[in-house]
Amino acid sequence: MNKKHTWVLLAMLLWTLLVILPVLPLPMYAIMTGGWPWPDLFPSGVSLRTVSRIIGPGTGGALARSLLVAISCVFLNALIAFPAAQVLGRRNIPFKRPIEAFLLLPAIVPPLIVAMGLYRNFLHLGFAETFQGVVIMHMIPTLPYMIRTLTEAYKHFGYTYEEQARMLGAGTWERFFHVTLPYMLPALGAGASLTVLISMAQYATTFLIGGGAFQTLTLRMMPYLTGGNLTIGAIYTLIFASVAGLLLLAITKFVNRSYKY
Amino acid sequence: MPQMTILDIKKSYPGFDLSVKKLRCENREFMTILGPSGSGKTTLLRIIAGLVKQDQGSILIEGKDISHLQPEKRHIGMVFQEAGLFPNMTLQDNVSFGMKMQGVPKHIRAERTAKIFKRIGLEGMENKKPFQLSGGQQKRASIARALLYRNDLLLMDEPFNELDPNLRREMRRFVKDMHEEYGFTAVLVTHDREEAFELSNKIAVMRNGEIVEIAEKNNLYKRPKTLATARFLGERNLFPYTLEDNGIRIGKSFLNIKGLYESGYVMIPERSIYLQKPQAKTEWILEMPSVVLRADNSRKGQELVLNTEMGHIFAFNYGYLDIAVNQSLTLFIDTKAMHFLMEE
Repeated sequence: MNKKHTWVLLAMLLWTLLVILPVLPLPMYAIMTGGWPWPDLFPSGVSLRTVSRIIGPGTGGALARSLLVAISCVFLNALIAFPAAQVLGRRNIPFKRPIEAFLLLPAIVPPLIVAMGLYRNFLHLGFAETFQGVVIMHMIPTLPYMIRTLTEAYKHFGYTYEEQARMLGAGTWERFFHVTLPYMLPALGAGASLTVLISMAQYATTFLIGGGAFQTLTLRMMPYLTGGNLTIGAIYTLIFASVAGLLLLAITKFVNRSYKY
Repeated sequence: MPQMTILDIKKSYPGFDLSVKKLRCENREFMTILGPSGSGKTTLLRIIAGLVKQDQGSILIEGKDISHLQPEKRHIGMVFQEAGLFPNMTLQDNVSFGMKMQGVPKHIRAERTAKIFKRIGLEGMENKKPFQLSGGQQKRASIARALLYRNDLLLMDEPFNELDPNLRREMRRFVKDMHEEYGFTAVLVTHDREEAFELSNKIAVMRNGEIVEIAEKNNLYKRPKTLATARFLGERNLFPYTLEDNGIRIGKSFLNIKGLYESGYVMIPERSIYLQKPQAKTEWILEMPSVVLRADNSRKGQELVLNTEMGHIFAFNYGYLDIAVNQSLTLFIDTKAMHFLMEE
């Protein structure tokens, strides 16, 4: 075995130890009854009772809200990020660097601080404890990632293809949907994946802006995890991970199918 | 087929001004705008296409002013330097894209693309993606795409630049064939004089943002108007002369031929310098002693630099003679091919 292979093997081992191993007991936690004392290999008893109690309208609603917020964020982020990235990626504008830094600022400043500042304004504007308010709040930490990925894609995209399309009679929207958007799909997919993951994981900001009344999956999951109820915490974690994973898979599949070259 | 006229176009950039008073491309004509890099030829083409907005002036197609229209509304076919096939589309979709934008029904699009695929030798490759094609195939597809969109007026912006020499030759032949077959009006922009002379009927020479000369290609080749054009076209035997009684003086040499201007330059094309006495047209032949200074071998023969009383002169030995450095040679110059240029 050469040196390179040894390093690869070590990296895989580390990955297994740090990421895979802690996740492995999760399904057991989700179905255990009566605890799991050390050094037993399996819990004292297993039952699907808690699972069937959790999977119900409450969880379904929270899951739907989480997904709706995340997907709304993806669409609204794309709507804002496309024109911004188009300018940042392809044009020489004055103060380009400071503008870029300013647009990335929300990704650096903790979202909770932003949420605390926004809460008062949202109260006046009527956005507090509403779906719209939570969506706007989730857009703040996710939008910079969407802008960043699309800006990089626009840098490579340049003007060539759009000019070719113009000289073949394509108007603004035809150029965007037939030429620009397909080229941008991988970047859009990356931005959308990050948006989905960050939005679904938002706890404190959703709690603050949603006032506890707007329940997402993370909001339902967190008290059980922090309160020590490992079974319910594990069930929610599994639901969260499966849904987020499926969504990412769907985005990747869509991008790959639409954009093969 | 449309005729295109450019009238009083001006465009200013910091440190560069483009100014074209009048340029006319007749129906079915193949016109080349020839000039060195930075002469403004691509800017002029992009102004015609509408991709760059001029500061003033008009572009007329069949007498109709199209200057105010967006590029997509001008309906001009254009071939760019890069093939620029859309990477997400198949070759079929790429080539029929322009027709789709024009609202041509699907079955007619399919019929026309099938016909042109056969013509350009890409039959059976309709469902391939651009990355699966060679550079030449991509270029052919991009020309076909422009032709299917507009087969009577085509702009070409240095379309063969990225190709290797063999492929360049092949593509030049392809464009020439296409022009003969479709009879479109074409404007080609290039810095390559071989390309310009091979393809076009008319050549407009551009320098420092201005058209300095427009001529039929043979006239331009044999009788350029300015010294700069002659140099740009590759003429190396350019000698300053002064007019004297019964002839002209070049360096120490007096030639018994009639000069045109008081003083200026005389161009002696390399093709008019013979190394052996020609049988015919002896009355026009001027004999001149010389010594070979350099003899560089090339694929077709030897490039010679010779010392004469006029100064250094360039000639070509097509391999008929065995010539060495320091050898004495008598040159036979066809004075009918000499061309007089005014001093700039």
